Amino acid sequence: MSDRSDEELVRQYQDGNDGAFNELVLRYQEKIYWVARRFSGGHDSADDITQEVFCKMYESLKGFRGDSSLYTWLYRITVNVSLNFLRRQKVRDFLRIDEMFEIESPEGESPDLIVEQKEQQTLIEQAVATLPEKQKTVFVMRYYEEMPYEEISEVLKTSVGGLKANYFHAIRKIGEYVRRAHK
Amino acid sequence: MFGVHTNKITILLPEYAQGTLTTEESARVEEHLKDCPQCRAELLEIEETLAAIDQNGAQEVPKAYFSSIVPRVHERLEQRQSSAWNRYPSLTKIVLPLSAAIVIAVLVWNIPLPNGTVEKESPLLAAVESSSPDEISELMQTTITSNDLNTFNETIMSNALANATFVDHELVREALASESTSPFNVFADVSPQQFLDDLAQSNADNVLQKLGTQGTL
Repeated sequence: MSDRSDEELVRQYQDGNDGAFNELVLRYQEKIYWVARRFSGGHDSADDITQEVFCKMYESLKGFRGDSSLYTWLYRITVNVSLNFLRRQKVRDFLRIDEMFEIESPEGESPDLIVEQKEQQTLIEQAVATLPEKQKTVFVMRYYEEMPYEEISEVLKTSVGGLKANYFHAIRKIGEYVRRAHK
Repeated sequence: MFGVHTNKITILLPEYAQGTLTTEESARVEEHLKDCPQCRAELLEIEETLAAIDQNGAQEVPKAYFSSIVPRVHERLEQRQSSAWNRYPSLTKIVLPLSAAIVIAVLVWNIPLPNGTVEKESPLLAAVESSSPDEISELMQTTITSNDLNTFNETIMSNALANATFVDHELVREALASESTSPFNVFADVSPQQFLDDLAQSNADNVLQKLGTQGTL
């Protein structure tokens, strides 16, 4: 990878150099993957989200004006894509559960397979996955990304006091989940 | 021990355990802990939880994985660009070329357009004067495709939400309980394309069958 700055690479991409886009992907792919992984709680989902984030970057980077750093911009895209993914997952899970119990679907995924997929997640990933959306978002941003509350407050438009309460409750729930699993 | 005992000090316990509070805040927490056995017990549990999360550490990802992202992103972009054409074969093979031919004919031979309503109702024809044939063709594709998808998405969603099995679901309850005024807002960030993809992956036949039995589709 070259030592060209993000700004230079963005400019080059905006001038039509696709190679600059590839370089930006290589530069940020691991960071984006791990943010996505923490939100989604599994490799396959994180992979899907990561690809989607970079597709959105490809489509929107021409209009990027540098009001924030590229990573901040990408991070916000990642959070949005992850949350959308989780909402869509709820719809999918619902339809799948419905199929499992009401409609025979021999070609669909079996309940065993779904359980197996869940077991592939670590206990902590499972615990994080069960958190309500807001608590999960705050937990990932604060614990894994170590973002200051003031910055999270700007992104989520929530008071710092509210965020601290969300963080506290997230950790409590993770703890409860882990203890229940060990009983 | 987790109870309902939460206050301004208690919610600082995770940060206290992580050592991220200011000196002043830490002192306030310590002062509170002296007289509050419940918070001391809670602090212990929080410390255990944080230790468990720390131990979870970095999960393994195959080494080759990160070298596969760039080509797969390009592959996805290509698929996305071609999907609009593939999704509507009759539209792309017949309607669009025919419409483009008519538009080009209008442009090339300067055929006058009918007066009044048609011009006003059609954003495509309104754009004819200032666009090249290629631009018009592209505009038509985008407009027709997105209109169809939006209509379909809205129809599916309104039927889905009217369906009893969906109404019972947590998702809809959340949507109705949220600050959104419309249950559609829960899908506001999901593009029609994404939603259709979801339906396809979730066995759209079953969904349509269920909606059909409600007599709504």
